[in-house]
Amino acid sequence: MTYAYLFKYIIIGDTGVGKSCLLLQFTDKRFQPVHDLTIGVEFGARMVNIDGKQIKLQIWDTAGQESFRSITRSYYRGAAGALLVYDITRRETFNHLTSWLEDARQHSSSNMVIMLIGNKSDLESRRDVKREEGEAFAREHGLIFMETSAKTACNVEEAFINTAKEIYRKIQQGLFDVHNEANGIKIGPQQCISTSAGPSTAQRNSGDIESNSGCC
Amino acid sequence: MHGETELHRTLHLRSNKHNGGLFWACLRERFQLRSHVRLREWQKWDPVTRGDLQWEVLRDPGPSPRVPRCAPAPVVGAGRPADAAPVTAHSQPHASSVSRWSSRKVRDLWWQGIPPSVRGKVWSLAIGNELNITHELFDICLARAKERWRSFSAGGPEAESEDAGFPAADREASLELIKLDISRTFPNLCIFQQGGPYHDTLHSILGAYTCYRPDVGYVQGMSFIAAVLILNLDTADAFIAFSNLLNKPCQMAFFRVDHGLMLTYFAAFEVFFEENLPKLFAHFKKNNLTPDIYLIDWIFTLYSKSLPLDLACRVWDVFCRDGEEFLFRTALGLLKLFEDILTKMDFIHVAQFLTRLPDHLPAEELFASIATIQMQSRNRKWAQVLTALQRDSRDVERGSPSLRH
Repeated sequence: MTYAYLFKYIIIGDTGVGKSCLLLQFTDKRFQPVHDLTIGVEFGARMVNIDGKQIKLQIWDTAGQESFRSITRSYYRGAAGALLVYDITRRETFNHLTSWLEDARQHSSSNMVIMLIGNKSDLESRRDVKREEGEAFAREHGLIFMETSAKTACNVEEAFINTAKEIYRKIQQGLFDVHNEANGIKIGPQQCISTSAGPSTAQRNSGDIESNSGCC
Repeated sequence: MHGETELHRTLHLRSNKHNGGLFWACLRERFQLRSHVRLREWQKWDPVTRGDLQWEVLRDPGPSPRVPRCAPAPVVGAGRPADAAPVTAHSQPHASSVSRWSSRKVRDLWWQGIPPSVRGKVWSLAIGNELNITHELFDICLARAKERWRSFSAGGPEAESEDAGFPAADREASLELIKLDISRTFPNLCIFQQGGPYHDTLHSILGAYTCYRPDVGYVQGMSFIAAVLILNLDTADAFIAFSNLLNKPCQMAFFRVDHGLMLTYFAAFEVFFEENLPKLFAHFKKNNLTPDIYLIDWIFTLYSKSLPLDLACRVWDVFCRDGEEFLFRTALGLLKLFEDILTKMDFIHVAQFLTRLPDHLPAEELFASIATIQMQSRNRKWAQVLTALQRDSRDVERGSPSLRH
């Protein structure tokens, strides 16, 4: 299936906050109450439509344990979007956001769009972090914010798609150089990119792009 | 004869042990049935060969650490020319006595899969107990872990001062994490989850380990290794095997998340990857499919999470015989088995395929594929390649410390 762009996403956040469940809900539209634990990295992919353009999301779902941070750091490279997830029922996962954000900012392109996600919104009775606190954190650090539930699927679609919209907006504003794959964006095979910023010479041979890529 | 009696006793004890749990029923079918099949295969072997392995299996597994380990030459590929290369810890089969394991027939027995009824004993012996851990030490570590759980749930972890250097917050996180991860360890088997027959056992081993090795602590992936050992050994023996297994150089490098050393392992893997599967190697390079993407999960959990459990156990069998290089050889065997389809896939499909292998993997085909993988590159064996790369990376580090992550 052809697509106009491919965006690389990375999902980060403490272990057990529901990163893999969010991904599964987004790609397979299902919820697994007891999900396997992620060691290293897992992958998901899905096509979305933004402004009539097909966009393929290539999603890297990382391990959350502190010990694996040095591994996760190497996966930020070339990500256009990041979903930074915490669990609204466990305050410590919210407290660790600052250090996640530091990592993300330090190891990614400065244009990377970060979506802050307070997951498990279905567990209202066990809520430990107020919605307003998430909003305030996002405002303070220039992030987009949403509360989601991987279980009920509430806002899951929106979280992934709004991130894509924001990346797409940045492309149109010319903030992203779509020809530099270090930005986490690839132009799809056989696509004409007349609508986007930048010259339209690059697409004659998508194989060239692949072999030039310094990331994925 | 002594061996035969012991074997029966072992079998009897094990079947009794597993009679209790309701959840065991689902597992038993899988394991016991296979066990009978294997036992039949096993009985086909001539008594002398069988006796050799049985004797090793049933011998007292407690070698004194004062006795020099592994005096005889290590086992290398049967039928291959004798190797004059220096023996390093990396290449040594981790056995207390390997002389009788080196006969061709006994080596074949390992390859075909150790009968599950004696698997735990064979693994224990092969892994050894270099750390000289006793059942008493396990009891002490477990008692300390329990004390911590109590003080943690009572909300007063700051009272302890013995583990200075390992902040209370980290230990708390470790304890919390163990709880969280136990329920995520082989969730489909339903035996390690809260209320399952092995929930407490798994909890105990992981908790005791964090007390035994606070410098390593609990790292995700460990729960799978401990779980597989629990399925084959009694608690204290599982702990001994677990601690000694994690103490092997490759496992230490990974569980300490020594990124530099892990990269060296990946680089060594790539040397053999290119040598064995040049076409696929080029395809992976072109698509930026670096080995960390699939190897991290495979190595951390010794394939127990990514392969069907009975197949993973067979990988463990030969891993116990050949050491760490077999883990990387297995990886190449898997890549070779699926070479044709992998060559046609792009980045995301390969990444998804390898991080979520098909549920039904044909065991014999996989082992046949692994058998064709040569762990020789320009006359150098795994350990030699790895050592050379380690030396190189140390030189680089010394020359330019900034290159280190």
